[in-house]
Amino acid sequence: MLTKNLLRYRKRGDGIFPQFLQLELPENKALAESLLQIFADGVGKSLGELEEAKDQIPHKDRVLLAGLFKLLVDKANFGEFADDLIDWRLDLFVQAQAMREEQLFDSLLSYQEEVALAIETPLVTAKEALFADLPHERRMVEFTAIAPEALLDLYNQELIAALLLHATKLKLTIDKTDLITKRHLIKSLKFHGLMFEVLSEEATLVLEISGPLSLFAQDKSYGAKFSHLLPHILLLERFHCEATLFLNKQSYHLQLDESVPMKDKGRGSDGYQLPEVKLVLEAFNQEPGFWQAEASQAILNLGEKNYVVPDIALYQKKGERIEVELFHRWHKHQLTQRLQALMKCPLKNLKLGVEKSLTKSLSLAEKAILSEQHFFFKDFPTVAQLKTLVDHHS
Amino acid sequence: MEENKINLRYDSGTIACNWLPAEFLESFVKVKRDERSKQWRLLAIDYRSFIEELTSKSLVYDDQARAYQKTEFSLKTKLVLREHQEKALEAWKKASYRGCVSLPTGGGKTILAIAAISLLRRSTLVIVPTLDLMAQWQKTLTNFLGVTPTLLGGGEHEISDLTVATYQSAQMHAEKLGNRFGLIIFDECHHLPSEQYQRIAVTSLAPFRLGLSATIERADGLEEKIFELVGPLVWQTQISEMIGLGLAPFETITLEIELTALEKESYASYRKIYLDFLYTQGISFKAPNFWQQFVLKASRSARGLEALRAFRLQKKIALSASGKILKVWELLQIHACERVIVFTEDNELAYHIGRELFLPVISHKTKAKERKLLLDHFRSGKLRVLVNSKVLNEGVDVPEASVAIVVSGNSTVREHVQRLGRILRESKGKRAVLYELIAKKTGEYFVNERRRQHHAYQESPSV
Repeated sequence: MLTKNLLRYRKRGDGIFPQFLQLELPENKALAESLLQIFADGVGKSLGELEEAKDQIPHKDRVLLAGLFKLLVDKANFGEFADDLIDWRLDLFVQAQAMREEQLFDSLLSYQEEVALAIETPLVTAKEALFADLPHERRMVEFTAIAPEALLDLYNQELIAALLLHATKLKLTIDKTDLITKRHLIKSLKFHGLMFEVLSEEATLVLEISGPLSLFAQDKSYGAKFSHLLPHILLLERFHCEATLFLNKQSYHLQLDESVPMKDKGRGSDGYQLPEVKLVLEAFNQEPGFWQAEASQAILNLGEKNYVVPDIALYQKKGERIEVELFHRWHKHQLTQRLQALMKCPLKNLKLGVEKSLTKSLSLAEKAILSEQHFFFKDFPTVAQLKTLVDHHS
Repeated sequence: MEENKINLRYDSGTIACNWLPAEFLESFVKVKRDERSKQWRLLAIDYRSFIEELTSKSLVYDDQARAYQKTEFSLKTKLVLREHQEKALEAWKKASYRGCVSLPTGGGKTILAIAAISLLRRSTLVIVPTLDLMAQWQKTLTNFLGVTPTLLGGGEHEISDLTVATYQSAQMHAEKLGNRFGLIIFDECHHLPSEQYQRIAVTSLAPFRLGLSATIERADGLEEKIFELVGPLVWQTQISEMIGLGLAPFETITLEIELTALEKESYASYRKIYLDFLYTQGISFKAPNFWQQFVLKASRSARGLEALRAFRLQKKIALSASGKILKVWELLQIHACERVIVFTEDNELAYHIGRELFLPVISHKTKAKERKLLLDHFRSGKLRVLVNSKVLNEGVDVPEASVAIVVSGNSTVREHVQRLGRILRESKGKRAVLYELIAKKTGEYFVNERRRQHHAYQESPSV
């Protein structure tokens, strides 16, 4: 992650313009190669030594250099120190204290030498080893190489993500309104507790995204959630994103579109399916019976801007259909919201699968809704549970 | 569609309401229409005044927002409040259980909070700035209430009717915690005005709030924000009022440290570059936004950047003058059998002292396991000296600590009073002493002057 001091952008009026790196520019590629070489040769070196090597690179933009370096440090593995060092250090402190209490030293140097002698270690080595587990002193144990273009690509993404941390509102226009994209976005928005208003849903889907608190103040707490949406957005073939940022006590506008230099443009949301879902669907379809299972494609509207994006669809060839939405232990807040929406607008064909641990914190009214027609699972629903669900429905 | 029943629901830091009569909306202006969800909405912090307004207008409502409850908290160990604590508690009650209390370190803020919890008997969230304080609160609450609070922070994530959380974790989960507690206690509440931490108070509907601090005044005047979020300052006791009543007598001693010839030369040359830049740019030390002006102008030219670098280097020479290390060594020999805390302005100097004197260092980089070991050993006396930059400024409760050595620090009164507080807890025959080491003829003089603008220092001798 790029920290605030590593961001590169220009301001013009109330506009803010990230300084992206052009992936094809030879000097950018050369800079990335120089840094990657330091890390390729850096196994066994301390972070401090790597920093020194970085400082030797003659590049006029030190902020860019430090930013790229930071991204590589985040990718590298600096290993963990064994607890032996903590024990050794503690013994040394106790021993040194006893010596200070028991004798009077002529000078600081004579004290240092006595301590070093007592632990049978040369003074210089003892001093160096004492805090060798500090981040600056830790040594790199592993670095997985990446291509220079991939580093530049990562930089561009991180630059936007770090700016979006300061966003208070986001307006997103997507030309490609296919169901997978829409489902993916709505699911992400729900998961992150964001609110949205659909401004247009015809040729383009225009969403204004914010959070409940945005009504009262420029709340930056949603910025982190916006940045989670970024990977979905940046790879879209065509999009326009307008964010309102609150940075250094001033408001700015950030505009992004598909011209952001990125590799693999247009890959879009690929409708990724959890392996667990895939396995359950396959196993269910191998069981004898009239019902079949598939990954749901539906978006159900509960009114008042409450959309449901189910995970599993159970259907019969004659047309009957049950949509199943799953709530895992990290969906506590989303479950509460869903139950409250269902109180107002019950949907007969929507069943909720809820991980057992979630029920502890529900109110009696919410539990009553759950007990009516939904089911509980541990970790993940089983084929037997889905079978029971369709049997009850039938 | 409007309905005639008012339903309240907590939604991510706000109270969402399906319907309100028009005349109510005219009188209660904190409610806003949210077209995104076709509801009325108000900030959770306004829940109490909202309910009071609904009640005063005899409006019937279904409150599904509030998820806290009455509890069975009762004292398992008898609590004997000292006079100032009784008065503070009474003042807080009179302020409708909302407000701040300022007591010096050792003044019994935790005991006061326990009295408040057992009085109100509502689900309670205690928010603290550090992991050490979190552990300390958990231990004390367990002893007095017979209930072990759950923890949120430092890898723990369990919410119950009695929870202790760090500010950091509480703000991360603020929108989800907001309706779970009826009483919220902000320990060291001077942290609350930070932009991120304010959200904890704003997104909570807790009608009852208690803020505790030894140094509620802030240099930036933002204590007013604390009063807005928690309630007014209802009680304050000064250090001088408590000497012999829980606090040990103390003295503060300023020691001037001579720079070496080389340090003097470097200091003078860097200082000149810095001061010349200020002079040519017409930047005055007395300007209220001196620092912002300096950084802004410095960032516009190579000469300015050089001045900024020179500023940092001359400051570093003063803060970490080699003579200070020798003085610490001397003082440790004088106080060989006492518990000593050494404070520095930054980690680099703390670890430098640790390396040179073979002393344990605690910083934010210290792992939890080692940190606990070091603090336990310090409490037991197995270790008598701890070096740190800022992490021990607040909250660590070691009554036996009697000597503080401030090798370097910033100019804020708050930091200095907090550091003094670490050694003031009373124990039999104890007389505390705080040493400040100042590099002679450097800018540290002015820093020292500013941070001593507190009555605790003005009544104490300086050598």
